[in-house]
Amino acid sequence: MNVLRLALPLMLTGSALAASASAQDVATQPAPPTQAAPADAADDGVLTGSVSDESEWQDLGIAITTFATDRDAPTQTNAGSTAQLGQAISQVIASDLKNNGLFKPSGPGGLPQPSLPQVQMPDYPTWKGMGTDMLVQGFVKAGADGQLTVGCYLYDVALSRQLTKAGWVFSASDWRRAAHKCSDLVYSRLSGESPFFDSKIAYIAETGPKDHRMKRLAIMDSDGANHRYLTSGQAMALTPRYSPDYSKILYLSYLNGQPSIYVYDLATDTQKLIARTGNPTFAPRWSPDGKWVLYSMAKSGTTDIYRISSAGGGTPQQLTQGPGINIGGSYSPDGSQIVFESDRSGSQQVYVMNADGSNQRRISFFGGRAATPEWSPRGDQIAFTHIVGNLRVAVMSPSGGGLRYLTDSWQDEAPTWSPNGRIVQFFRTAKGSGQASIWQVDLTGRNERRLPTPVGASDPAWGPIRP
Amino acid sequence: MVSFDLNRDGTLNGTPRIVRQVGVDDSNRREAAMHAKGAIRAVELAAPFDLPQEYFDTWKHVGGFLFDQRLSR
Repeated sequence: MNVLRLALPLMLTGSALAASASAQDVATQPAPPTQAAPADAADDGVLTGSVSDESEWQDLGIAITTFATDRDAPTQTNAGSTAQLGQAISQVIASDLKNNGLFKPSGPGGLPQPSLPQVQMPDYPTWKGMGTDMLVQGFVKAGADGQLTVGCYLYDVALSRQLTKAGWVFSASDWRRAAHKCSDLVYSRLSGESPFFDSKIAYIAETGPKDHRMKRLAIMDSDGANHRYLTSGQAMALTPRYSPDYSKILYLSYLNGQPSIYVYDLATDTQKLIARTGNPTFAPRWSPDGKWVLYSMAKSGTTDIYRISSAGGGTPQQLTQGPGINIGGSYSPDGSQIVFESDRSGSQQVYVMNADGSNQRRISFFGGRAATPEWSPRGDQIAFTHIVGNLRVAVMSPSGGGLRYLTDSWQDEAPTWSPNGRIVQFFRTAKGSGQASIWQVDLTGRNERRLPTPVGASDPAWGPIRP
Repeated sequence: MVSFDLNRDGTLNGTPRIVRQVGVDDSNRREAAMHAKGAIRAVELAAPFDLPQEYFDTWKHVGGFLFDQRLSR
């Protein structure tokens, strides 16, 4: 927590008065980036003052207590009774709020356990005495129909005030979603960012030796739980992307060397062929409105980017006309522009064009090579792989300025964004073994975490926040 | 920049208000909103203020108190 020493006297304009008061400790929430502001005139008052915070960013402490219950009833969950579930939910929340560079969660272990009435009336003096900044409490109740009701409350301990609350009803098997929804509520209230925990990730599960690897399409929750394989591994699956409405996954399938672009429908567990060109085809991507699919196809020495209707059928529209290899393609959030990779200047670099293919221009001029660009859902950044010896995940502005590295390892590549544009996901290949794993890093580059997957994992793609 | 009014006993009279905010652009708009909330919270946590009674007319209204998060270190 940032502690600002607000030394009064307040600066007085137009008065010789030195209104000296005792220095007071003023605690603010970690105040995020706004640019240094020049002292400006006040509205109409004579008395003005200022305080500057030059301290390093410090994480906000959040205590998360075990969720209380009205009675310890059995549930149809893998976590046990409602009391055990209360503890499991708190643990999921504490784990969610770690590693994003904003919070320092504690609990539920080692914290006092509130009774059900205390969930809505926290004992502020006790929590103040423990030096808690923020407090998360909640309850879980089992309904007769097997449904679970989960309530979540966030309190500002220093101000003795409730900041926000929400409740959800989920079927027992979806209990982790209730925990993620509570994490999302806390995260968005305290950071101002859009939520992202209650979301899913599609990726490619890899098994077998390096030269004969089986690659299957798989999905899991944003924290690695509820893992599920979608394809059998008979055909090699690559580069999955969730549709904007979350109902489908677009991916590339290789069967007997024949590449095909499929859309996998998650509701019906069926898939539809979008394109089989007879030529090497790569990197299928959605447009933000879900109406179009981009893909790259190699033909007579060049590779170009094409656009086709996501409904299947129709004539593909060619967006790039060589020279060299033009590949990938990630839309800006408003759908007006596409960022892609091209080696037309002699080495892989990042280019931007209008959605109709006009006005193509190079934006990466950092030395080395730049590959796999991906536009942030917030529109203000482009993540990409920068290759100068090692492969590193980096971000830049859409005009090609402000290069910042997020990772520094041997081989990190294929960044994709969290739905709120605050976390970048990528895969890391270990030197020697070639073992691939999925990692997340926040935009400061300081907080990395590995997602637990049952087998090797590559090509992660984040789905949108769930309703 | 925050403005607020004080009672004779140094407690806040009403909730502090944001007078203006500078340096806001598309990529920090959400953080800017949080910074504003943080500034109001800071004033609320600092109150009540121990100020000399005889100058109440001068300090009853604080017209602009600037909270500056400097990142240009």
